[in-house]
Amino acid sequence: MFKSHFLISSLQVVAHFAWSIIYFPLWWYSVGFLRFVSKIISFWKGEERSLGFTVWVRNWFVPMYGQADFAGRLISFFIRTVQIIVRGLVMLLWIIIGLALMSAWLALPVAIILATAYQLLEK
Amino acid sequence: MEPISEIKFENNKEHYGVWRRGRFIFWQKPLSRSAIAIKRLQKSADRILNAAVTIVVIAGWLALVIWLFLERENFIDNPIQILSFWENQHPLLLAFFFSAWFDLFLIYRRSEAAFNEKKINYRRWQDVPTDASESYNMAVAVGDDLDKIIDEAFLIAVRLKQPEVTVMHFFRALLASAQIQNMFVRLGIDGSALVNKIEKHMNGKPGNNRRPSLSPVLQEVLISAFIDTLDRHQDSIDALNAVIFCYRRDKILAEILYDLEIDAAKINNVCEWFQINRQLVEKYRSFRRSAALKPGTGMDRAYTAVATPTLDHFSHDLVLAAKYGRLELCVGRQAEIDSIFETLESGQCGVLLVGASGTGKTMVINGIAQLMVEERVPNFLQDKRLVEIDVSRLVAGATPAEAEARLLACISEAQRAGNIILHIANIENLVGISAGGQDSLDLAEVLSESLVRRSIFCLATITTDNYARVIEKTSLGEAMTTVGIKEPAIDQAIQMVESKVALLEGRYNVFVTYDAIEQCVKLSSRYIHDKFLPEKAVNLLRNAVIRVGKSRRHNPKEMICTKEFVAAALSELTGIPMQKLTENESQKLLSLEDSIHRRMVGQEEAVTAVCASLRRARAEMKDAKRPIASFLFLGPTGVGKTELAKTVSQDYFGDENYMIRLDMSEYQNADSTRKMIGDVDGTLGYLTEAVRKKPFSLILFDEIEKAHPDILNLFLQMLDDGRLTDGQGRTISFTESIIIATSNIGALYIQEQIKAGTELNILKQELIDNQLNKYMRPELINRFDGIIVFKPLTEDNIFKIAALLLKGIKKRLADKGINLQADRLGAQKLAKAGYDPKFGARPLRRLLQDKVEDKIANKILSGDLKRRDTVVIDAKAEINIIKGREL
Repeated sequence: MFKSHFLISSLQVVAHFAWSIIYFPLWWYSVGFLRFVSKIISFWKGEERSLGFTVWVRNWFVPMYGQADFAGRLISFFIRTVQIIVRGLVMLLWIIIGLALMSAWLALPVAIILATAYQLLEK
Repeated sequence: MEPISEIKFENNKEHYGVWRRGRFIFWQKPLSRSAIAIKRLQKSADRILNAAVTIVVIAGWLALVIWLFLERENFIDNPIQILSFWENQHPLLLAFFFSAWFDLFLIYRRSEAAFNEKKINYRRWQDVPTDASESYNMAVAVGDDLDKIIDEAFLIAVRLKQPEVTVMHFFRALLASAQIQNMFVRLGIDGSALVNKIEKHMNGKPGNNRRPSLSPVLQEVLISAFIDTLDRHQDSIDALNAVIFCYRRDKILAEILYDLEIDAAKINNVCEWFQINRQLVEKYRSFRRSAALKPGTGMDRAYTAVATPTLDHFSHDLVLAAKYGRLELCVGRQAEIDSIFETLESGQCGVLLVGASGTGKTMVINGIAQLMVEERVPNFLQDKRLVEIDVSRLVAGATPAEAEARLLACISEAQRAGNIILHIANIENLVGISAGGQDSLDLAEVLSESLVRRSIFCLATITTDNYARVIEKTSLGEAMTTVGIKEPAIDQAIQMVESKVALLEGRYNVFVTYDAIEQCVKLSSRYIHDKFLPEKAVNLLRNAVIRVGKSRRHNPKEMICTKEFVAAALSELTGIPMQKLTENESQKLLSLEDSIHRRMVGQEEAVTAVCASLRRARAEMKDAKRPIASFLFLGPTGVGKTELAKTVSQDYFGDENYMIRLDMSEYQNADSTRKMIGDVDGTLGYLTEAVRKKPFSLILFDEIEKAHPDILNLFLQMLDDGRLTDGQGRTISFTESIIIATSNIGALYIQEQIKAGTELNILKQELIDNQLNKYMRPELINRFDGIIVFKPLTEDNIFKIAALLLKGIKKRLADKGINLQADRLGAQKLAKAGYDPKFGARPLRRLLQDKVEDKIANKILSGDLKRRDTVVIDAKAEINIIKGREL
């Protein structure tokens, strides 16, 4: 009785491991990738909040520091344009980095296979 | 929705459970020994696999580092080449790339494990399903720890061959959890004693069932724990959620815990404590994440705000302070914060937080600043600054006109900036500062005008008294909406203090027990009357913790702040004798008569009546809103009325000095009331001030019949409500005082009646009916807990008193190294000579002064009496000296 219990238990544990190894590559390109993408997206959102890029775009023509006279508006417009360009570039950089990381996620298993294969090749 | 403790469980088709949020919630999970064994094996195997994978990963990276080290020569000239390391071929690189698979595998395992920790999908619980037949098996929401505990409870029931897994089995299994053990350590409970008691009650009727099922009560516990988890928005149910429901749903368990002095409130507060700590950690993490995204300047994100140099000079930015973590986290004030937001959203521009000092008005403001950092505020508060105006800085070194100009500048800057919410703490400081003549505006009005125009938002705080006194009927009072910040109830205050404990423990490296926290709140609420919860309790706890730190200098192992340290800290703070706060004095109270009679001769009835009354008070049988006890002592002079009062003070409060004595012959005029309780001009009342400083004392009113009738009216309130309001409007509590009034009314009558052999009860009634009512109103007489008649002293009493007095002289002489021997006949002769039925024992004291003390003093001064000599009072009551041996 005890033996059969132990056997069943062991078989179940082994089956669990086997499943986890088979499921791992599938996971990497499905659930895992989606989770990684959602992390990158929330990172972008945080950076956007911190940089306030959309806030600057929305307020492009609103005078800065409440200087509503003509000169104030003019200077504001130029300063804001510069700010929007700089902030936009920074935001773009983050987007590129995020996309690169996503591609890296997708490419990593393939790259490892290739690199391992290369190591096994005879010179 | 009904509270969890009141929900009704029912059978629905095949399950036992409860309807909640439109779903039928039940618990169902097949439990068997083999399933548990497999699960455990699985867990161990998982752990081993994780460890093995981690080792391979580390080894892989190590291989790469070693390879880089070996090839360092090639990279020194061109470090960029490191990046193309994969172009090389080397067994170490092969090992690294091989291990890289395990890197990915580890990421997969970690991610899945973290995902699996979240067992409850709150999106699903957000709305009520339209289909009323939906049911939910809460077993899927059970966290790993609790799951293990349920399994363990099942195994216990199997071992004991029980047909059901009961709450007792479950609780026994709970006690093995580290978190629950920690909880009982905080409660100061000996774990093994509790385990023993629980184990005694785990055996029910034995059955032969190899698969016991969960008893319905245990299912109720688990389902209640799930609902609690849901209400708290936790990821999964854990042991902490279940403890309180074990207590609530199992009567025997409740009794066992009650025997260990754990009641429902206690266990609830400790559970809350652990929950609060967990929430604080979570809140802190999410707060730090959001704070990183908040701009660190005074500008809004779009830079549309106007710079505010004047305002910046006279204020500081609370949102910035919160962003950099300089404000304490606010706990348990969500209702008040919501109410403030609602008021502001309804179009009001000014909110005034009104509450006694120390109730947490500033904490509410801090809480709002923190929410503003996280941007978890209504839209109109998003991307805004909360700026506190420093009123003292605003008015410092300025004439009223300048101060007004400064305030106007600040307000107009705030108005133009458009991103500023003003905060003014203690707004009463603005009132009464006005420029120019009588008709000019004061600063408060300047502010109220802006509020009425709705050009700025302002949050201000003020104490309750100041609100009524200064603001209520002014234009500022009308322009602002009040939100009351009430003093929290005891349990709420305990939870607020609990939220500060982790900080104190960390700072002073001390472990605080639950009892210490409870004691802080209860003692401060009982004995500190001029401050408010939770601040007074937090301050008391801080003092106690500092005390522990100090005592560690003498005893390095001293780490635990217990309730004794709290009592000591309170004693230092208020002057209340330490022993009163801690000792278990039931024994002492039971033998109070003996202890009093060591100092008091005779007056058995009086002593018995007083002791009985004090015992009643101590057993908490008395009304908590009245003084501990109040007596009217009647009797001729010199029979021991004052002496009994002094003795009670000594025995009950631990020192004769805990007595406030007022001679009522000094309070015979109409304006004596002012002398007693003070007046609005700032004169402090003698009585009220003394009791305010020392609420824990015996108050003796000598010769009460001489007091002015107005004063007697004060007594009515003092005796009935246990409080008086002094001239400054402060409420002085008498609930910790013993009040004794003495009177000589009917002294002669008492002497005559006692001589005639009248019974004491009849005599007392006679006195009340025919003598006392001439001086006091019946309602006052009625309010005393006891009217105690002192009998004239008998000759025998006088002998004993003489012996006591001589004993006193002997003690004083012993301090000088001189002995005293008194012959019994001599002492009696002195007693007889000093006895006067009219004046009681007082002439005896004078006689002993003349005949004994004076003579001894002369002999000491003339050098006839030296150390080691013996003074002898012979049978004729003469003083002789026996010379001691010379050295």
